[in-house]
Amino acid sequence: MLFKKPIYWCYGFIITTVLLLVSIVASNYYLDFYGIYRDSKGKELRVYTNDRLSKYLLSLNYIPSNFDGLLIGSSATESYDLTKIDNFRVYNASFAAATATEEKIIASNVFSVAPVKIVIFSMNPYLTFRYGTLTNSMLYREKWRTLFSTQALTTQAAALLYSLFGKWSTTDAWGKKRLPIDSNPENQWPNVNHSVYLRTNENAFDEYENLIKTARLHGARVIGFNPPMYSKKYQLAKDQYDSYTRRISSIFMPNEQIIDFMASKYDTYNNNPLYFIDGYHLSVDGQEFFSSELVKAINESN
Amino acid sequence: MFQQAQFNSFEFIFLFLPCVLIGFHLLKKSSNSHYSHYWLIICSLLFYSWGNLSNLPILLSSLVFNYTIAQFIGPIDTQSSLRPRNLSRKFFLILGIVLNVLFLSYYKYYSYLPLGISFFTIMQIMYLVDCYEGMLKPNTLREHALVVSFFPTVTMGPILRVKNILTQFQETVNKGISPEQLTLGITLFSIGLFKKVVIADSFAIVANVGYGSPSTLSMIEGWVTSLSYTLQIYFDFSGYSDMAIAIAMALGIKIPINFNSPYKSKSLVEFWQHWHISLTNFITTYLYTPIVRSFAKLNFHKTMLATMITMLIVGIWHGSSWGFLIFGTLHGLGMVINHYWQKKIKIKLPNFLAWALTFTYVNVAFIFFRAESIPDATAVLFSLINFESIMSLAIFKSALPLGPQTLPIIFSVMMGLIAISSGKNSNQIIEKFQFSTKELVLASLLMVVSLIYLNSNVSTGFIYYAF
Repeated sequence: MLFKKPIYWCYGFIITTVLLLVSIVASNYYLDFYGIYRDSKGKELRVYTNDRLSKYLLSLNYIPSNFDGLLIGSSATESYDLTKIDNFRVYNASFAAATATEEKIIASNVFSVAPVKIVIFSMNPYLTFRYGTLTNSMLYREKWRTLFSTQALTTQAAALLYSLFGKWSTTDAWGKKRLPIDSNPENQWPNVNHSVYLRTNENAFDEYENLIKTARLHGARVIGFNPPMYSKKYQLAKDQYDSYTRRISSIFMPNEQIIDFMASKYDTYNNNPLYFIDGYHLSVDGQEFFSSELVKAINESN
Repeated sequence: MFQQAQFNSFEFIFLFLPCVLIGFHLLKKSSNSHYSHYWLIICSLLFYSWGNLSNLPILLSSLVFNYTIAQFIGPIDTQSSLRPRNLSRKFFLILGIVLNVLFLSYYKYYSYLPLGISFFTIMQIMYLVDCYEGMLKPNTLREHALVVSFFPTVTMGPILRVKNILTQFQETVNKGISPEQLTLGITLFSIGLFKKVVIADSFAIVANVGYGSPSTLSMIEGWVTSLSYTLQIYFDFSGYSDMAIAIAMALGIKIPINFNSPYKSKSLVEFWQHWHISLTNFITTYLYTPIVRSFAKLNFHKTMLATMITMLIVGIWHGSSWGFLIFGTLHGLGMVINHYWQKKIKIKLPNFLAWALTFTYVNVAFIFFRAESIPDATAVLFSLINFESIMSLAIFKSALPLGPQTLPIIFSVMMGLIAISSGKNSNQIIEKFQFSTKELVLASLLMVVSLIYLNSNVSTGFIYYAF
């Protein structure tokens, strides 16, 4: 159809563009994948894409509305199943390549909305290896971008794929990451010198320490836990690792529980390559065993 | 608000541009038609200085200086009242050109780079030469400020001849904005915005991954990296040019096109006739021709020498790094071979072969343009023939793992490939434009998708803002 006057075309363009924009914004508002715009209590919201950004967005409302505990960690702890902890609902806020700064942002969001009763801190050195945020995605403007951005559209697409095929969701409603296919840790990254991640950035370390202090200030029970590591990888940088563990243990109070999966009683499991996919990340068997051990230790102290 | 004056920002699209257009339209219909010019000057200076006020004195000083020099040069047939009798017009022309070149060189190579300086300085030189040649009378300060600071072109071109634009401002002085021109402007702006924020910025992500690890690229990664940048720079710069032309069009000013399907060229000479056309016109008229004229006796070899010198200057105009110098040298050398082939060998290559050779050569030259250093450029260059690792995609798989998150990039890259290989470029689309529902829906979709990308982390600044 041809328009009689060019000005009618202009009006048509403006109306069509506005209608398209409004429909996209409205659909994202209605779907509310991150539980930001409406009451999200009782909802079960997954992460579909971009764990870092998604967990940040979930921390604005969904996590404080549905959980009273947090697990602070990086990729080494992102697959821990915390559903069986008695008396607390603990959300796994870990994600790949997380820094202490980024975890602090998430925790602060949660603290600012609702009281948190328990915070479990992974003592993995990766958290204090780098300072600051890895991307510029953990900013408040992202809240509004969920209504209208490529992230919003890819989340819609991934959610659709998940509903059709059961794939493309990266975490469950508790923040637990779906595990990749198992593989042998001795074949994974054989040449990578992981001791580089044992270097500590002092600003990041301060950030980590401040996060623990903030958790205490909010009345949360603080628990530290030293995640397991495949023994052959551990031996490659034993001294550095032990030194780091001693240092980070010292920032916990004497009355605070520390669960150490590198203790000698776990040697049998840490020697088992089937429990790891690359020396640091757990296999399905490893995740099941160490998650249950972590839960057991916390429940025993409850 | 603005971090820097950018067409690809919400503030510009939804606040600045509508205000400019409405104000311009209303003032054009007022009793004193020059009000609309003052309005445009104010808006242009606001646009230029937004985000970095320190740029403004640099533009203003260049503007006032060249206005003054032009007064000294004066009209060709009469004695300027300002010019001392013992100093010739040529003296002031040379003084003007030398000081403009020094001004540009100082900021480009020894200080921070003010926005658009490479573009508006060239425009001022063209203006002085045109005044000297008697092609136009020296402007009033209002006219000069209106054209030189014209916000659609002040930051990144297209490089305009003052006379062409000024004439249009004078001819349309009492006419409001035409709905037809506004419609075409909206459509072209949507196309340009889409080229920039959807296509170019996504190719940028791919190119940045490869140029971030130049020494470990496989052959396929090397080609993906170099081609991504070659496509990025085209969509980035031509997208900007489309938007600049579109805004001017909505204001009733016709700006000549700056790109005309350059990657379909079958020779390097043809490539430069279709790539950054306003710069090519400038270097042909104001650089190459005077160099050729300066030779006492002209022959083929001397014209080739002039070509080589001209392209070297083009390389240096982009910046002081070795990469730009090699980029200019490669293009100079390519042009010389091209001319030599046409003049001496005279064998016509099959179209596809001619196109493939030209495109590959342009692609290789852009490696030196983009790489952070010469070793990086060499590494990417050698990766193109890395037979030890041909098909590995390890670097791309690690940085951009396939999944929903990469869907927008895949969509954009596909759009880019469709756009580059399809028949019509944006100029041709506008030429054949019909006020139909189909065009309306397509333009709306382009705008909406562009706004989605613009509101995401994908969006970045323009490449040529750095020049």
